[in-house]
Amino acid sequence: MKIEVRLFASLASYADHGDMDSDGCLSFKTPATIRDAIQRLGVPEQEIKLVFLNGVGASLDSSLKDRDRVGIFPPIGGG
Amino acid sequence: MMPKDHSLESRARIEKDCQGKSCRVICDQDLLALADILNVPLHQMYLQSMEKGILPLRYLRNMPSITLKEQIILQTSQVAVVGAGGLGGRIIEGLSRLGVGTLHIFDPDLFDETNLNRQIFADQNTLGTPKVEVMQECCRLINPAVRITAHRIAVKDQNQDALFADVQVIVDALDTPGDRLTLAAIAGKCRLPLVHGTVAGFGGRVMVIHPLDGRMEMLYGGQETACSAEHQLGTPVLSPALIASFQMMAVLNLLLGKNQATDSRMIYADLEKPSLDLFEL
Repeated sequence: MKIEVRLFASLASYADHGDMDSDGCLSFKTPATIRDAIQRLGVPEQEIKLVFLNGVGASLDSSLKDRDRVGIFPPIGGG
Repeated sequence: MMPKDHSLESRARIEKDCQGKSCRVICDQDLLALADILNVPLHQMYLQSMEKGILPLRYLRNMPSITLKEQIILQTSQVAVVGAGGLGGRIIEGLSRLGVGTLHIFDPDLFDETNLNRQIFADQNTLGTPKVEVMQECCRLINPAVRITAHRIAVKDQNQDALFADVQVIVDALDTPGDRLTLAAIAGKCRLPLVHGTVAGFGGRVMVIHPLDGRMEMLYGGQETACSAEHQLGTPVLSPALIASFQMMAVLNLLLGKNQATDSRMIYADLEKPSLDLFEL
Protein backbone atom coordinates (compact mmCIF):
# COMPACT_ATOMS: atom_id res chain seq x y z
CA MET A 1 0.00 0.00 0.00
CA LYS A 2 0.99 3.58 -0.68
CA ILE A 3 0.66 6.21 2.10
CA GLU A 4 1.03 9.96 1.68
CA VAL A 5 2.95 11.40 4.63
CA ARG A 6 3.15 15.16 5.22
CA LEU A 7 5.53 16.47 7.84
CA PHE A 8 4.76 20.04 8.90
CA ALA A 9 6.80 22.97 10.28
CA SER A 10 10.12 21.88 11.84
CA LEU A 11 9.43 18.21 10.98
CA ALA A 12 9.59 18.93 7.23
CA SER A 13 13.34 18.26 7.24
CA TYR A 14 12.70 14.56 8.02
CA ALA A 15 10.99 14.11 4.65
CA ASP A 16 14.48 13.74 3.13
CA HIS A 17 15.65 11.08 5.61
CA GLY A 18 13.74 7.97 4.59
CA ASP A 19 12.58 6.36 1.40
CA MET A 20 9.77 8.78 0.55
CA ASP A 21 9.07 8.94 -3.19
CA SER A 22 8.79 12.15 -5.22
CA ASP A 23 5.01 12.35 -4.51
CA GLY A 24 5.68 12.38 -0.75
CA CYS A 25 4.49 8.78 -0.37
CA LEU A 26 5.82 5.74 1.48
CA SER A 27 5.15 2.16 0.29
CA PHE A 28 4.43 -0.73 2.67
CA LYS A 29 4.23 -4.42 1.72
CA THR A 30 2.81 -5.50 5.12
CA PRO A 31 0.16 -3.99 7.48
CA ALA A 32 1.45 -0.83 9.14
CA THR A 33 0.53 1.93 11.59
CA ILE A 34 1.33 5.65 11.59
CA ARG A 35 4.10 4.85 14.08
CA ASP A 36 5.70 2.50 11.50
CA ALA A 37 5.60 5.30 8.93
CA ILE A 38 7.26 7.89 11.12
CA GLN A 39 9.89 5.37 12.24
CA ARG A 40 10.75 4.72 8.57
CA LEU A 41 11.34 8.47 8.18
CA GLY A 42 13.36 8.74 11.39
CA VAL A 43 11.03 11.24 13.10
CA PRO A 44 11.59 11.05 16.88
CA GLU A 45 8.27 10.43 18.65
CA GLN A 46 9.01 13.07 21.28
CA GLU A 47 9.03 15.73 18.55
CA ILE A 48 5.42 14.93 17.55
CA LYS A 49 2.44 16.76 19.03
CA LEU A 50 -0.47 16.24 16.60
CA VAL A 51 -1.26 13.31 14.30
CA PHE A 52 -3.92 13.34 11.58
CA LEU A 53 -5.23 10.55 9.38
CA ASN A 54 -7.13 11.72 6.29
CA GLY A 55 -7.56 15.15 7.89
CA VAL A 56 -8.97 13.90 11.18
CA GLY A 57 -7.17 13.66 14.54
CA ALA A 58 -5.62 10.20 15.04
CA SER A 59 -2.96 8.41 17.12
CA LEU A 60 0.39 6.87 16.24
CA ASP A 61 -1.26 3.45 16.69
CA SER A 62 -3.84 4.10 13.95
CA SER A 63 -3.72 1.42 11.23
CA LEU A 64 -3.07 2.44 7.64
CA LYS A 65 -4.74 1.43 4.41
CA ASP A 66 -3.82 2.12 0.79
CA ARG A 67 -3.95 5.81 -0.23
CA ASP A 68 -4.30 7.09 3.34
CA ARG A 69 -3.00 10.59 4.03
CA VAL A 70 -1.03 11.16 7.23
CA GLY A 71 -0.24 14.61 8.69
CA ILE A 72 2.29 15.06 11.50
CA PHE A 73 2.88 18.27 13.49
CA PRO A 74 5.43 19.28 16.13
CA PRO A 75 4.40 21.62 18.96
CA ILE A 76 3.99 25.17 17.56
CA GLY A 77 3.73 28.17 19.85
CA GLY A 78 5.12 31.36 18.27
CA GLY A 79 3.11 34.54 18.34
CA MET B 1 -28.65 79.15 1.95
CA MET B 2 -26.57 78.06 4.97
CA PRO B 3 -27.57 74.77 6.61
CA LYS B 4 -29.09 75.79 9.94
CA ASP B 5 -29.15 72.39 11.59
CA HIS B 6 -26.29 70.24 12.80
CA SER B 7 -27.82 67.02 11.55
CA LEU B 8 -25.98 64.04 10.14
CA GLU B 9 -28.23 64.27 7.07
CA SER B 10 -27.06 67.80 6.29
CA ARG B 11 -23.43 66.64 6.17
CA ALA B 12 -24.08 63.45 4.17
CA ARG B 13 -23.36 63.16 0.46
CA ILE B 14 -23.92 60.51 -2.17
CA GLU B 15 -21.07 58.21 -3.27
CA LYS B 16 -21.08 55.05 -5.34
CA ASP B 17 -19.73 51.82 -3.85
CA CYS B 18 -17.46 49.54 -5.91
CA GLN B 19 -20.52 47.95 -7.53
CA GLY B 20 -21.78 51.36 -8.67
CA LYS B 21 -24.61 51.40 -6.12
CA SER B 22 -25.32 54.81 -4.59
CA CYS B 23 -25.08 55.24 -0.84
CA ARG B 24 -25.04 58.14 1.61
CA VAL B 25 -21.67 58.72 3.22
CA ILE B 26 -20.18 61.15 5.71
CA CYS B 27 -16.52 62.00 6.22
CA ASP B 28 -14.56 61.76 9.48
CA GLN B 29 -14.11 65.51 9.72
CA ASP B 30 -17.88 66.06 9.82
CA LEU B 31 -18.40 63.26 12.33
CA LEU B 32 -15.70 64.75 14.57
CA ALA B 33 -17.23 68.23 14.26
CA LEU B 34 -20.78 67.02 14.98
CA ALA B 35 -19.62 64.94 17.96
CA ASP B 36 -18.01 68.09 19.33
CA ILE B 37 -20.98 70.40 18.62
CA LEU B 38 -23.58 67.95 19.91
CA ASN B 39 -21.37 66.78 22.82
CA VAL B 40 -21.76 63.13 21.84
CA PRO B 41 -18.88 60.60 22.16
CA LEU B 42 -17.34 59.93 18.73
CA HIS B 43 -18.07 56.18 18.73
CA GLN B 44 -21.71 57.05 19.46
CA MET B 45 -21.74 59.57 16.59
CA TYR B 46 -20.51 56.86 14.21
CA LEU B 47 -23.22 54.51 15.41
CA GLN B 48 -25.99 57.12 15.07
CA SER B 49 -24.80 57.90 11.56
CA MET B 50 -24.84 54.26 10.46
CA GLU B 51 -28.22 53.68 12.09
CA LYS B 52 -29.56 56.53 9.90
CA GLY B 53 -28.15 54.72 6.87
CA ILE B 54 -25.22 57.12 6.46
CA LEU B 55 -21.96 55.23 6.11
CA PRO B 56 -18.72 56.78 7.41
CA LEU B 57 -16.63 57.28 4.27
CA ARG B 58 -13.77 55.28 5.84
CA TYR B 59 -15.87 52.11 5.49
CA LEU B 60 -16.93 52.64 1.85
CA ARG B 61 -14.30 50.22 0.53
CA ASN B 62 -15.47 47.56 2.98
CA MET B 63 -18.74 47.31 1.07
CA PRO B 64 -20.33 45.04 0.02
CA SER B 65 -18.05 42.44 1.66
CA ILE B 66 -19.00 44.11 4.94
CA THR B 67 -22.48 45.65 4.67
CA LEU B 68 -23.75 48.72 6.52
CA LYS B 69 -25.80 46.45 8.78
CA GLU B 70 -22.69 44.41 9.58
CA GLN B 71 -20.64 47.55 10.12
CA ILE B 72 -23.19 48.55 12.80
CA ILE B 73 -22.78 45.17 14.49
CA LEU B 74 -18.99 45.64 14.48
CA GLN B 75 -19.31 49.16 15.94
CA THR B 76 -21.27 47.76 18.90
CA SER B 77 -18.93 44.77 19.42
CA GLN B 78 -16.19 44.27 21.99
CA VAL B 79 -13.17 42.03 21.42
CA ALA B 80 -10.21 41.20 23.69
CA VAL B 81 -6.78 40.62 22.12
CA VAL B 82 -4.37 38.92 24.52
CA GLY B 83 -0.76 39.33 23.44
CA ALA B 84 0.42 42.32 21.39
CA GLY B 85 3.37 40.78 19.56
CA GLY B 86 3.70 39.63 15.94
CA LEU B 87 0.12 38.37 15.71
CA GLY B 88 -1.54 40.65 18.26
CA GLY B 89 -0.20 43.91 16.81
CA ARG B 90 -1.56 43.16 13.35
CA ILE B 91 -4.88 41.97 14.75
CA ILE B 92 -5.28 45.12 16.88
CA GLU B 93 -4.45 47.30 13.87
CA GLY B 94 -6.77 45.34 11.59
CA LEU B 95 -9.73 45.22 13.96
CA SER B 96 -9.35 49.00 14.39
CA ARG B 97 -9.52 49.53 10.61
CA LEU B 98 -12.48 47.13 10.39
CA GLY B 99 -14.34 49.26 12.94
CA VAL B 100 -14.74 46.86 15.87
CA GLY B 101 -16.09 49.39 18.36
CA THR B 102 -14.23 48.40 21.52
CA LEU B 103 -10.92 46.58 21.91
CA HIS B 104 -9.37 45.41 25.17
CA ILE B 105 -5.68 44.73 24.59
CA PHE B 106 -3.29 42.94 26.96
CA ASP B 107 0.52 42.68 27.01
CA PRO B 108 3.03 43.48 29.78
CA ASP B 109 6.03 43.94 27.45
CA LEU B 110 7.97 46.83 25.96
CA PHE B 111 9.14 46.83 22.32
CA ASP B 112 12.70 45.51 21.92
CA GLU B 113 15.04 45.03 18.97
CA THR B 114 14.11 41.37 18.43
CA ASN B 115 10.55 42.59 17.65
CA LEU B 116 11.66 44.72 14.70
CA ASN B 117 11.71 41.76 12.29
CA ARG B 118 7.94 41.26 12.41
CA GLN B 119 5.94 43.37 14.83
CA ILE B 120 3.87 46.19 13.38
CA PHE B 121 4.40 49.42 15.42
CA ALA B 122 7.93 48.26 16.46
CA ASP B 123 10.29 50.93 15.12
CA GLN B 124 13.21 53.13 16.19
CA ASN B 125 10.89 55.48 18.06
CA THR B 126 8.92 52.86 20.00
CA LEU B 127 11.78 50.67 21.27
CA GLY B 128 11.61 50.55 25.06
CA THR B 129 7.97 51.74 25.10
CA PRO B 130 5.02 49.62 26.35
CA LYS B 131 3.48 47.82 23.38
CA VAL B 132 -0.16 48.28 24.38
CA GLU B 133 0.31 52.01 24.95
CA VAL B 134 1.95 52.47 21.53
CA MET B 135 -0.86 50.52 19.88
CA GLN B 136 -3.58 52.44 21.70
CA GLU B 137 -2.12 55.72 20.44
CA CYS B 138 -1.45 54.53 16.87
CA CYS B 139 -4.89 52.95 16.50
CA ARG B 140 -6.59 56.08 17.84
CA LEU B 141 -5.09 57.87 14.85
CA ILE B 142 -6.12 55.04 12.49
CA ASN B 143 -9.74 54.99 13.70
CA PRO B 144 -10.82 57.36 16.48
CA ALA B 145 -14.25 55.70 16.60
CA VAL B 146 -12.68 52.60 18.15
CA ARG B 147 -12.29 52.68 21.93
CA ILE B 148 -9.15 50.85 23.05
CA THR B 149 -8.51 49.88 26.64
CA ALA B 150 -4.81 49.11 27.09
CA HIS B 151 -3.94 46.66 29.89
CA ARG B 152 -0.18 46.52 30.52
CA ILE B 153 -0.49 43.20 32.29
CA ALA B 154 -0.01 39.50 31.61
CA VAL B 155 -3.08 37.26 31.68
CA LYS B 156 -1.73 34.40 33.76
CA ASP B 157 -4.44 33.70 36.31
CA GLN B 158 -7.79 31.98 35.76
CA ASN B 159 -9.33 34.43 38.24
CA GLN B 160 -8.80 37.32 35.80
CA ASP B 161 -12.08 36.43 34.07
CA ALA B 162 -13.70 39.72 35.18
CA LEU B 163 -11.46 41.50 32.62
CA PHE B 164 -13.45 39.80 29.84
CA ALA B 165 -16.95 40.47 31.22
CA ASP B 166 -18.08 42.70 28.31
CA VAL B 167 -16.44 41.02 25.31
CA GLN B 168 -17.97 38.68 22.71
CA VAL B 169 -14.73 37.11 21.42
CA ILE B 170 -11.22 36.61 22.85
CA VAL B 171 -8.18 36.41 20.56
CA ASP B 172 -5.22 34.24 21.61
CA ALA B 173 -2.10 35.98 20.29
CA LEU B 174 0.16 34.69 23.05
CA ASP B 175 3.47 32.87 22.72
CA THR B 176 3.76 30.48 25.67
CA PRO B 177 1.85 27.19 26.15
CA GLY B 178 1.05 27.75 29.83
CA ASP B 179 -0.50 31.17 29.21
CA ARG B 180 -2.55 29.82 26.30
CA LEU B 181 -3.97 27.06 28.53
CA THR B 182 -4.84 29.64 31.20
CA LEU B 183 -6.56 31.84 28.60
CA ALA B 184 -8.57 28.88 27.29
CA ALA B 185 -9.70 28.17 30.86
CA ILE B 186 -10.78 31.82 31.26
CA ALA B 187 -12.63 31.73 27.91
CA GLY B 188 -14.36 28.54 29.07
CA LYS B 189 -15.37 30.15 32.36
CA CYS B 190 -16.75 33.18 30.48
CA ARG B 191 -18.41 30.95 27.84
CA LEU B 192 -16.63 32.85 25.07
CA PRO B 193 -15.13 31.63 21.79
CA LEU B 194 -11.32 31.88 21.64
CA VAL B 195 -9.59 32.51 18.31
CA HIS B 196 -6.25 30.71 18.60
CA GLY B 197 -3.34 31.51 16.29
CA THR B 198 0.31 30.55 16.28
CA VAL B 199 3.29 30.70 13.91
CA ALA B 200 6.64 29.03 13.20
CA GLY B 201 8.88 29.66 10.21
CA PHE B 202 6.84 30.50 7.12
CA GLY B 203 3.72 28.74 8.40
CA GLY B 204 1.09 28.89 11.08
CA ARG B 205 -2.15 27.62 12.51
CA VAL B 206 -5.56 29.08 13.31
CA MET B 207 -8.42 27.45 15.18
CA VAL B 208 -11.58 28.66 16.92
CA ILE B 209 -11.72 27.03 20.34
CA HIS B 210 -15.22 26.85 21.80
CA PRO B 211 -15.87 27.05 25.55
CA LEU B 212 -14.53 23.99 27.37
CA ASP B 213 -14.16 21.93 24.17
CA GLY B 214 -10.78 20.71 25.47
CA ARG B 215 -8.92 21.43 22.23
CA MET B 216 -6.35 23.86 23.65
CA GLU B 217 -5.28 20.96 25.91
CA MET B 218 -4.82 18.83 22.76
CA LEU B 219 -2.52 21.52 21.34
CA TYR B 220 -0.53 22.35 24.46
CA GLY B 221 -1.44 19.94 27.28
CA GLY B 222 0.78 17.26 28.75
CA GLN B 223 4.48 17.00 29.38
CA GLU B 224 6.31 18.94 26.67
CA THR B 225 9.61 17.23 25.92
CA ALA B 226 9.90 18.44 22.34
CA CYS B 227 11.29 21.80 21.31
CA SER B 228 8.53 24.00 19.91
CA ALA B 229 8.88 24.61 16.14
CA GLU B 230 9.31 28.39 16.36
CA HIS B 231 12.51 27.91 18.38
CA GLN B 232 13.96 25.93 15.47
CA LEU B 233 12.49 27.98 12.59
CA GLY B 234 12.14 31.52 13.95
CA THR B 235 9.18 33.78 13.14
CA PRO B 236 9.81 36.01 10.09
CA VAL B 237 7.17 38.66 9.31
CA LEU B 238 5.32 36.70 6.60
CA SER B 239 3.66 34.14 8.84
CA PRO B 240 2.32 36.53 11.53
CA ALA B 241 0.88 38.75 8.76
CA LEU B 242 -0.89 35.75 7.21
CA ILE B 243 -2.12 34.09 10.38
CA ALA B 244 -3.30 37.40 11.88
CA SER B 245 -5.56 37.81 8.81
CA PHE B 246 -7.06 34.35 9.32
CA GLN B 247 -7.66 35.20 12.99
CA MET B 248 -9.37 38.48 12.05
CA MET B 249 -11.59 36.60 9.59
CA ALA B 250 -12.58 34.20 12.38
CA VAL B 251 -13.38 37.17 14.64
CA LEU B 252 -15.59 38.70 11.90
CA ASN B 253 -17.38 35.40 11.33
CA LEU B 254 -18.05 35.01 15.05
CA LEU B 255 -19.26 38.59 15.56
CA LEU B 256 -21.45 38.51 12.44
CA GLY B 257 -22.66 34.92 12.94
CA LYS B 258 -21.39 33.79 9.54
CA ASN B 259 -19.79 30.54 8.36
CA GLN B 260 -20.31 28.96 11.77
CA ALA B 261 -20.63 25.38 10.54
CA THR B 262 -17.02 25.16 9.44
CA ASP B 263 -15.36 27.59 11.81
CA SER B 264 -13.95 25.08 14.28
CA ARG B 265 -11.60 23.27 11.93
CA MET B 266 -7.86 23.78 12.33
CA ILE B 267 -6.34 25.74 9.44
CA TYR B 268 -2.65 25.20 8.74
CA ALA B 269 -1.09 27.46 6.11
CA ASP B 270 2.47 27.24 4.79
CA LEU B 271 3.60 30.15 2.62
CA GLU B 272 6.80 28.46 1.50
CA LYS B 273 5.25 25.41 -0.24
CA PRO B 274 2.65 27.01 -0.54
CA SER B 275 -0.16 24.95 1.01
CA LEU B 276 -3.36 25.35 2.96
CA ASP B 277 -4.93 22.44 4.82
CA LEU B 278 -7.93 21.96 7.07
CA PHE B 279 -7.94 19.42 9.89
CA GLU B 280 -10.56 18.18 12.33
CA LEU B 281 -9.32 17.89 15.88
